[in-house]
Amino acid sequence: MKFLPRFRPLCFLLLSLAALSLPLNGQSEADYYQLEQVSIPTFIELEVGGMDFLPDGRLVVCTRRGEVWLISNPGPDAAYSLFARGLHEPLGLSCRGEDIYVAQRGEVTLLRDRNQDGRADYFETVYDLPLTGNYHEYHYGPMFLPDGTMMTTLNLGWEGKGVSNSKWRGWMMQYDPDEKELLPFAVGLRSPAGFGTNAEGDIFVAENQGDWIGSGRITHLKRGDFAGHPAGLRWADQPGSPVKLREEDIHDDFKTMYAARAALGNVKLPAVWFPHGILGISTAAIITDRTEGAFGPFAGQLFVSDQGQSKIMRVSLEKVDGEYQGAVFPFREGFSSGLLRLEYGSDNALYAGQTARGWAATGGEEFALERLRWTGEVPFEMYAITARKDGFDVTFTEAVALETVKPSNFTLQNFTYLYHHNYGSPVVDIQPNAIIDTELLPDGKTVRLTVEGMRPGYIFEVKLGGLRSAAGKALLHDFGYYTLNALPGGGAGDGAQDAVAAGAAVTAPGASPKRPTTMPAAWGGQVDEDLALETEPGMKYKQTYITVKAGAKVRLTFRNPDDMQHNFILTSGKMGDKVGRAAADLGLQGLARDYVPDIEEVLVHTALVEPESEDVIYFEAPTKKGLYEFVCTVPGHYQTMRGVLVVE
Amino acid sequence: MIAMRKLTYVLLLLTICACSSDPLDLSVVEIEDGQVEAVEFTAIDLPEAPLPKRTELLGTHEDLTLRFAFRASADAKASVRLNNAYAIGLPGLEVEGLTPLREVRLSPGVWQEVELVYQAAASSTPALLSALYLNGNLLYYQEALGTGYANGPLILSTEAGTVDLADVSSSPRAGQSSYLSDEGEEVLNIPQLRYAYYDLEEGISDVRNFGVLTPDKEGFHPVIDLNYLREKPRDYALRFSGDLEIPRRGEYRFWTFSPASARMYIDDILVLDNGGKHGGRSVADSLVLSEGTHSFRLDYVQNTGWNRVEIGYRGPSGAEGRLNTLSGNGKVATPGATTPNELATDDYPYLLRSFVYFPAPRMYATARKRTHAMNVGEGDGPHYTVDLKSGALLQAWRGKFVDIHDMWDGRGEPQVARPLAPALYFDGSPQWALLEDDRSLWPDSLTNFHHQRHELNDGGRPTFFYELAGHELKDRITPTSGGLDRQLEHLSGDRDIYTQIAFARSITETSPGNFSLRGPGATISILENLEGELILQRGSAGDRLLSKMGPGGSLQYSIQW
Ligand SMILES: [Cu+2]
Repeated sequence: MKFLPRFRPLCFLLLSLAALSLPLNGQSEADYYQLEQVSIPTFIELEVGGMDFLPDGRLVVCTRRGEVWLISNPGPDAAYSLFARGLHEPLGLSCRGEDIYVAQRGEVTLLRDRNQDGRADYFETVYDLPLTGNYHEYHYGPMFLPDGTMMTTLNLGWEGKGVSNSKWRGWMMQYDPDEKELLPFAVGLRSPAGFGTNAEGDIFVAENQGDWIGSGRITHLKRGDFAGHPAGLRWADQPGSPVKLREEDIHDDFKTMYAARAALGNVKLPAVWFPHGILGISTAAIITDRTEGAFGPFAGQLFVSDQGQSKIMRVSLEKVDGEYQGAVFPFREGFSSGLLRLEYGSDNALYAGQTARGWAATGGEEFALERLRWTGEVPFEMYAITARKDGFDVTFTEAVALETVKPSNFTLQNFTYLYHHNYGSPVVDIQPNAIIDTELLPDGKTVRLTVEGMRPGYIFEVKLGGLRSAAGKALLHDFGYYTLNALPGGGAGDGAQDAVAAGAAVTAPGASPKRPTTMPAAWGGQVDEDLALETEPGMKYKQTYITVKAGAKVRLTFRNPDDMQHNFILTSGKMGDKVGRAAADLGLQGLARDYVPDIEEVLVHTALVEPESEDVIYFEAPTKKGLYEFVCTVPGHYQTMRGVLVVE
Repeated sequence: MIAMRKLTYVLLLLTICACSSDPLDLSVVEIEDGQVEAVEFTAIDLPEAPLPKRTELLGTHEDLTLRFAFRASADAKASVRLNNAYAIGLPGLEVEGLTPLREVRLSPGVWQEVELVYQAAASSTPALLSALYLNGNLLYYQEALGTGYANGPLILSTEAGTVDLADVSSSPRAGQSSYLSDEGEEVLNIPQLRYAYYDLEEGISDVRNFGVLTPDKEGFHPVIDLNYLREKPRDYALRFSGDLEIPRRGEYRFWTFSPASARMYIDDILVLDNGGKHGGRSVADSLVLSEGTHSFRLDYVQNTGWNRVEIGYRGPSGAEGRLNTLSGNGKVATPGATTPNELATDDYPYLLRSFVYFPAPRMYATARKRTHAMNVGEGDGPHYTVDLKSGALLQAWRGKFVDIHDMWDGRGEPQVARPLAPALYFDGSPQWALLEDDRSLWPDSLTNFHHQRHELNDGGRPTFFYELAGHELKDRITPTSGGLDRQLEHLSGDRDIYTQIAFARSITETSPGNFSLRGPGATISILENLEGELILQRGSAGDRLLSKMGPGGSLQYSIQW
């Protein structure tokens, strides 16, 4: 039995932080961006793995079942034509003229229709990859760069942790079609399901929470970069590798990635962290708004999709000290399934390819194809956040009403994540930032915040109060997160330094009153019921219907053989939804509290259980007969991961 | 190990050189491939063909693992009679009262491979057909044959037509027993476990009186697989017993993990006591065991909702392993989905890339995957799988195409496509090789072999193009009523290249250009051989039919089964 250490922040004062909410004030995201279905015939399981547009405007979609569909008139009356089938779980597709490139598990393949009958009849292996046969060895891309080379990413395998058991797993690769050469480009990836370039052509890769990855994030990758997960370093000594780091250089003792970078040099800090459960749980596609305004006021910014939460986040970037850093904001939620792929159509709508099989998504559908259109109305939003030595400039999409620019309308705090082999990380070392001054700059759109406690290596939550536009509009979204890797002009700032590395800011959890981990002495060493509960891949419990006698003394062993974290919360009745929503509202505090909300509907719960480990709790079953729902409250899980305890 | 043997390669016999230019001329060469027959098996000598109506293959016998190849005429009606009491029908492998796990469709006149594991009846237990594999495909598993005690001989009885047997060998065991590995490590396994299953009332936390209880069912199973044996999630008990062979005297450390009540006995002494109600926990202990047979027993009571028990050991050499329990790492072959998801074929060939288990997995044996497999299915078949990493034709079958449950329902291991009908399994070694000469050993794998592309004709059938060290190669496989036609071409290259037509335990030239294969069973007809020479390598592990092809060479053959 293995109990991995978990950490909680010391600053309990801040634990009662109000949940982040959407002050919609009568407006909704749909007022600005409208979501439309692209029709899918009932006989097609369009589990989108990759997609792109042909020059003639047809949308090409490859599915996780290996089909490639040509979709004419992608909208309510789309017409589908099967181009190819039987590909090996393709998770990426790019069109280059009429040529269609697909990333299958074991290769990138070029598909052509030479006899012009509408079906592919030519399948060229552009390059192939070794595989061990592990289910988790996914392959994404290709993405063509202007120089004609193509980029792909190779997912790690999973054997209780991320493993690189075949060559270049955990790497981004670059293929040169002229030289017919596949070269390792950068390493440190775990599950790099999406990547793209920004307006400048620099490459960003999205990453999901997992072992060594505290939370979702996007990272700028240059040749030779190491992005954090050590498994891929196994191949760093191979010919062609541009990386000097070795697997043994990476260990838990750095505590944070920022400290690891300070010690090792070549550790690429994420440009933007996406707090887990708040702004996604599984970041996927990255796309730049290249519509020059046809998609609204965010031209040049990045949109990042999320598979688990069926939504899109927005990112503003700046360069400080030569490296990217920036802010992430909510943008649009409410998609139908797991949002894996984004692509702009020639109509400047943003097309969203979706699949949820094996990973439940908030939207609830197994798959979907939708598009998002700008209505022409500009929402009043934070447009961008940029750092200053003593604070931030927050720029808005529209002029701000001067009378609402005051310190009390801004709340700032900052925190970071642990860098360790465990799955994910709680938010640690939360510190509030006092607002010294606010000033509306002459452009009328930018508010300059002077704050105390600036410190690089931390993520700053910026939360807004009753700000109004000059025209009287309320904010559509009222928060964002800025990742401060470096202070402009350098320096360490005036915030508390190295608190995490010194171990001061974290502490191990104990049993809570609702998580009794030892048998009550009064039981005299006897239990009435020994219950076992196991997880299954796909965000499910194996046992969904458990019967106990009223008042029985229960020992529950909760075991998690899945590849992600889960918990167990027994609710006071049919309270699964209420508890699930309350857990989601924990915001930043979620992981540090094992996603357990402090409400009376929670009867008992386990710890948040790591993959391949377990937790045992003791409790007396309710004395009142009836149905008691239990749920997993890891963000995105409670809708599907639930069961019923029947008390007889 | 095999690589080292290759280094000790010795040419044994002379080459019979093909001096004429007839493309169907065959060169036969003997090679030393270093393969040795499994020591456990003893060959059974057969009388001269044709076999008499009643042939005694073995005298009075007990437990038995039997391997044989048979070939039946179209009108044949025969049986292999275990203990002269339990009949396995030939050619259809019918067993009275049992339904095979897969539909059997065999062509007359083609050799078929059978391996069966038989446990003779004892005073209190019925005779058991532990497993029967046809050409590597599981047809029966753990089936009781009858209650009567029988100790007769092993008989082949032919009622009509002709049945030929070949390569008959046997081992007086039903399953794999313990042994010492080549490295001197103890590998422990109980070849057959008897189990007794007891349905318990709710809330019973322990059982200490197995002896006076009446089992609700009894049987044999080679593995302590609770999920296979249990009939409800909890409140049952299982007693497993068997003979544990200790291959070397010394101190053995045993451990068991379970969240339920588990007690392990050796020679009726309680060695591991993980009994009663407790959470998931391990217990371990060591003891000195003499070489030889010891009785093993596990008493298990499912007093919780979590069904799991593992037993492991560490031998005197330090070797560690599991004793008849599943490790749960997903690398062990399982019977396949209980709810298969059939990928149906239509009028256009379905080319499905996938992982496949290869060689054909045996129940509870470690399974290996081919990761770059292309399954090609059309109508009722024959369907086939090629390995794009080696160019090899791996398997072919008729009937339903593949089960894609592991790939398309949920996610996770093992992600394999499984043929939905008994397949003919080929050798799996590379299709092409650059050999020094006709006597060089065929490689196990190639590093510089690449699938370049495949093209579909208007009917959707593929042609595969490969490259090996600058040689451009082409492969087209076409289903026919009798099997597959295959055309292999050496499009360009600077020297001769060898291509493999077949590897089998035995290949016989029946007439120029026509061959009969045994292990696997098939016939091969060379239809065209331009710029090629046929070579038959004979080795102790089997025979390999090759063609040496010059640039521009083209070989066409049909394979029928
Ligand atoms: Cu969960």
